[in-house]
Amino acid sequence: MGSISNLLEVRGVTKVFRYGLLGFKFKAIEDISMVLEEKPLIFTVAGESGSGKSTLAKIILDIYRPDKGTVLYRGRDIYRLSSKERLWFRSEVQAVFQNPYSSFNPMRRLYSYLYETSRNFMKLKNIDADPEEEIDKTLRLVGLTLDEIRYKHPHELSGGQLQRVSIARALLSRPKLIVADEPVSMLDASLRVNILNIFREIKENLGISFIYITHDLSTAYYISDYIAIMYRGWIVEQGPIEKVFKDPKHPYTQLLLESIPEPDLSKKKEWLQPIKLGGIEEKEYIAEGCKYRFRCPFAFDKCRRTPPDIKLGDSGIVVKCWLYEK
Amino acid sequence: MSGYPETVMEVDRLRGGYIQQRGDTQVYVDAVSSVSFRVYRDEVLGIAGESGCGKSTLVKILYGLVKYPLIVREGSVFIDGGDGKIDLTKVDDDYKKRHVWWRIISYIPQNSMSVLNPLQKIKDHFAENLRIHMGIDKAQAYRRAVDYLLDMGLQEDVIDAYPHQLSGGMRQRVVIALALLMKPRVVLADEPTTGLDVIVQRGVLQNLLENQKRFKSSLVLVSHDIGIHAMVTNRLIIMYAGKLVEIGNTNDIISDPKHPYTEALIESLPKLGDKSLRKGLGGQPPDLRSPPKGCRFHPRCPFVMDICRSREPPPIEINGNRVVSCWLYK
Repeated sequence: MGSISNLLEVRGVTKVFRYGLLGFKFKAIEDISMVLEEKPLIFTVAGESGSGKSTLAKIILDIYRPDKGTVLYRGRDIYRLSSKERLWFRSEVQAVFQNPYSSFNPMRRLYSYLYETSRNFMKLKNIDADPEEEIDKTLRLVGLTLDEIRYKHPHELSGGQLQRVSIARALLSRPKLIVADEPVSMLDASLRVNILNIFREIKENLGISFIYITHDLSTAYYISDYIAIMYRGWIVEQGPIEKVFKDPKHPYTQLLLESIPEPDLSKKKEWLQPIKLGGIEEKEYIAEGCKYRFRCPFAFDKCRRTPPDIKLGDSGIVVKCWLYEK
Repeated sequence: MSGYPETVMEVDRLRGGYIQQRGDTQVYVDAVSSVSFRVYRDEVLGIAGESGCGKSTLVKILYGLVKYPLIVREGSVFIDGGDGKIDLTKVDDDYKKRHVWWRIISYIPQNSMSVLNPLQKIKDHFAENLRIHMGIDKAQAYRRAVDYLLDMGLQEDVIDAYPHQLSGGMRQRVVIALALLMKPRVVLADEPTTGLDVIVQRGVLQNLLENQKRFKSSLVLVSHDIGIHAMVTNRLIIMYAGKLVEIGNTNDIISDPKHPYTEALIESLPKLGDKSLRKGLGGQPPDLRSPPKGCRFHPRCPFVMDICRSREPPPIEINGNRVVSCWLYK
């Protein structure tokens, strides 16, 4: 059993998908480990499309089961819970997804949905309160009121408003951890920051932790305490976000941070430095060893073998790269 | 650029939008409303704004791709093809096919897979186009296609590949090469890197920029991402609810936005290395079937005055090279 002092531990998780007639195997994520300590924090899992970040989210939410490794929530293996413990786990760990319009039943009023959710969880947790008051209180945390949405169907709200409702829905079970998978990528830039500010407030005022899954490193920096950078199913670098952003260690993280276009004119010169693009990707998928070695400017002989996770002193940074082998 | 820049395209009080059928009645959605600006030779002009602001509609009309339910109600789009000006809103598709598209103006869409034929090798796409447009035979067309692709910096294994074998970034580079094949004077690119990884996006945009410089053409780049405009464009148009609210040099707009909407938009963007609390805009953009009276931004504007609620602000020139549609500057 894992240490009780951690909220969540992902231990050496691998998920394999099979596809095609012949059952080709594809490792969506491979040997992933990360830890969320038992204190309010926002942990970003960042990566491009196909990096495996959503697969990881689904494994933590117990939607997928890993082929190898396991996930511990407060020291308990989430795939070996009794049915009663599973209900407890579901109330403790909640999800917010990318598209709020597909999170709600379009035929049903939002209030009836929230009412049922609230009542069920209160029964489960033996809380004696008025669901209506509870819902109003929770909606106020996300900048809405019950009067605003009482008679509304999902399509009557804007994307930003509805995403607030789905955050409120997640909060109704009084969770300790919310897994948010690209929660703002559907929203316009000028509205995104409003949702991000809600996450910050919830973390600080209610002590709830977040796993924020995103491809957008600027928003990640804005709200997170820790970050894990994913590349082709691996976490190539993780640690406290200030350290990772100030002094990125993995060659992929370095190039990634340098490539983000920002409304910052002083960055233009560096950004315009020509980079090379890969052409045909097939080769890279088949090859053994470090998955980044074909693009890596520092690749050497050893990179033909899979690099280990290397802890850099007591900085909290873990990097998967032979360059840092002692 | 020295002296007066040469105007390649002139958009004059352009108004267009969509017809929506609602039962027996037709509703008009005013997606592009009285927009005027110029495109100069050898520049990168950005168009920014959030979803529903009309930027993609504007680009469709600029290209002359106006199909029902999209209609043009007023105004004109002049393009200078080298031998006189043509009003693209007045000529038919047949003329555009023969004389305008590919030769004077070309278009790079968001999704490269919808442009490339999955059953054709990359070089076949080019040879076919050369054969049709230049009237040369097959063997000659192939030779020229391969020469051209090598010249555009594409590798031989890419030239011989089928579209699905290529990475997303390389496919988009192929589409860029295809758009530039006939050396057009104006290239319109509508969110050309959406859905690509940031590193690949950087490579593709660098490629677009490099080619724009090489051919001294004009690149009109539509993107919702202000960061991209900061890195790539020379001048920038900010659109809101179908209106052009601000136009000027990109650097000036980003370092000193004048329109309250532009200011709010830039203020809302988180930056790397900065955790200070940022504020987003309240409210939502208006419904373009019945836009608010006066300035379309007035219901969300922190500086709203009486006049903003009743009268639409005209384009107001300030500091010589900036135009802002806002009563604050009258």
